[in-house]
Amino acid sequence: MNKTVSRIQPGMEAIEKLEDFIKVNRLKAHTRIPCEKDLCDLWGVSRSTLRQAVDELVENGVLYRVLNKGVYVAESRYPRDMAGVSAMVRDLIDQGNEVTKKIIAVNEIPANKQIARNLRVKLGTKIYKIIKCRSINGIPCTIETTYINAERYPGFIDHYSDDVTMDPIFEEYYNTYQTSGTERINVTYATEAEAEMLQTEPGLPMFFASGVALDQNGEVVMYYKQLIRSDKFVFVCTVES
Amino acid sequence: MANTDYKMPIYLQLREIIRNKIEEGEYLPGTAIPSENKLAETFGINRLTIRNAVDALVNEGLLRRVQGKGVFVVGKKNELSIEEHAGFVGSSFENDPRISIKELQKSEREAGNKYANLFGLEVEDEIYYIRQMHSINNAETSIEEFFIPKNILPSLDVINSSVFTFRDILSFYGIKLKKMTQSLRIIKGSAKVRKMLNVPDGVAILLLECDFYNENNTVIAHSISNIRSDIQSFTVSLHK
Repeated sequence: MNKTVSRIQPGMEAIEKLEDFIKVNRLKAHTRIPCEKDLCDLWGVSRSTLRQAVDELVENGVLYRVLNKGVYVAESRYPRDMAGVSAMVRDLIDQGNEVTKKIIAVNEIPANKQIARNLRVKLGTKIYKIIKCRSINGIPCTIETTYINAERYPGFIDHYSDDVTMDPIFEEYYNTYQTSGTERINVTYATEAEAEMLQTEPGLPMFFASGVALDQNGEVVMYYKQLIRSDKFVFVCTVES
Repeated sequence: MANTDYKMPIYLQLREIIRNKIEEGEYLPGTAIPSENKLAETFGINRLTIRNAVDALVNEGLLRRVQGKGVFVVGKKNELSIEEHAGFVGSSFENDPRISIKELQKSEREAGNKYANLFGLEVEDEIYYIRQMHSINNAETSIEEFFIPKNILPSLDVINSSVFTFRDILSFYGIKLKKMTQSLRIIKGSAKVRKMLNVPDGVAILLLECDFYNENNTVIAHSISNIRSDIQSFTVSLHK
């Protein structure tokens, strides 16, 4: 009997061929892919199989449909890695993007239980709470809330503005270098207020990343929560030995 | 090991038989050894004796007993050069006894265009494909797919990873990982996947994709996981 193991399921094959087609031809965002009929002829798959494959890649955010026009390559998502926000901003700018930030609120608050635990300080310690919104190429993409121990970093907010990032301030004024950290990644859905700030629909899925950054002595530098549009970002991570 | 002779207690003789079969590669790491009934029948000895022999090897760490699944050969763990817990780690995943894994599909298939390009193979070269359902507390949580070129592993049978993780298997066979890249995105997910995972309306799916690299910087495995975002979250650590 012949071994029939090697055939790929048609549905899966069509998806893989589409993915490979985009990659090999280096198709840019908003490029229209060939029409259904041409692709079916090219690959010898049925119309319904191809349509299902396209559907799946639309649901996965790789392609998008325009009614009566065709199927297009979706914009690739910006990578967000663990090298920190400064590195992310630098990379995005290097790739030719315009990145802007707007501070929405700066407050001095006493640490509540949750903040105190994360910053490893006593309840009631004076804390700076900074909320900001970051836009890429004019599209608001993230809302970030940062908690900083005001007793450890006095006057931090006097140095901070829309035009500077936090890392250089820690380095220059406090000799603090962020060297490690742990982050938790969840999925949340935009509330009405968040959706308005991000100019999107309420209920849009978003990454909710929260974590602490530690300095060269293992002391907590900050505790942060970041809301990130899932249609704009992909979390990436490289582990090397 | 000392030579076995006929004066030795039966369970010790059987223990040495099983040990030899493991050392000689008849029982491959990651696979199950024959059932107690089968061994009892083969050697004409009672099950209690079989259990004694197996228990001894379980205690030595050579075998692992898994409730309801059988007794599995534990390979000698080679050092995986990348950290065990590095990268995105499922919050409730590692060593969690409430996790159960069901194999949905395991086959050999053509590499096809995508995986030929990824692994540096010809389109018609064969690769192994494994698809599993992972459940936490009896709730379907994720569908995991693995793709690996055929020449990397001795046989598809070794990937009964309902007992061992994929990384365990690679380490049993001395495949050193130099690098791993991961991406995590939020998607709606296909209707089929949503149905299989019983995802409630409005709940998004996390798509985790992973490339494993060997010391020559060649991709030797790829995984795709569709994960229910309302059941599982991730943590990741950074060391500059």
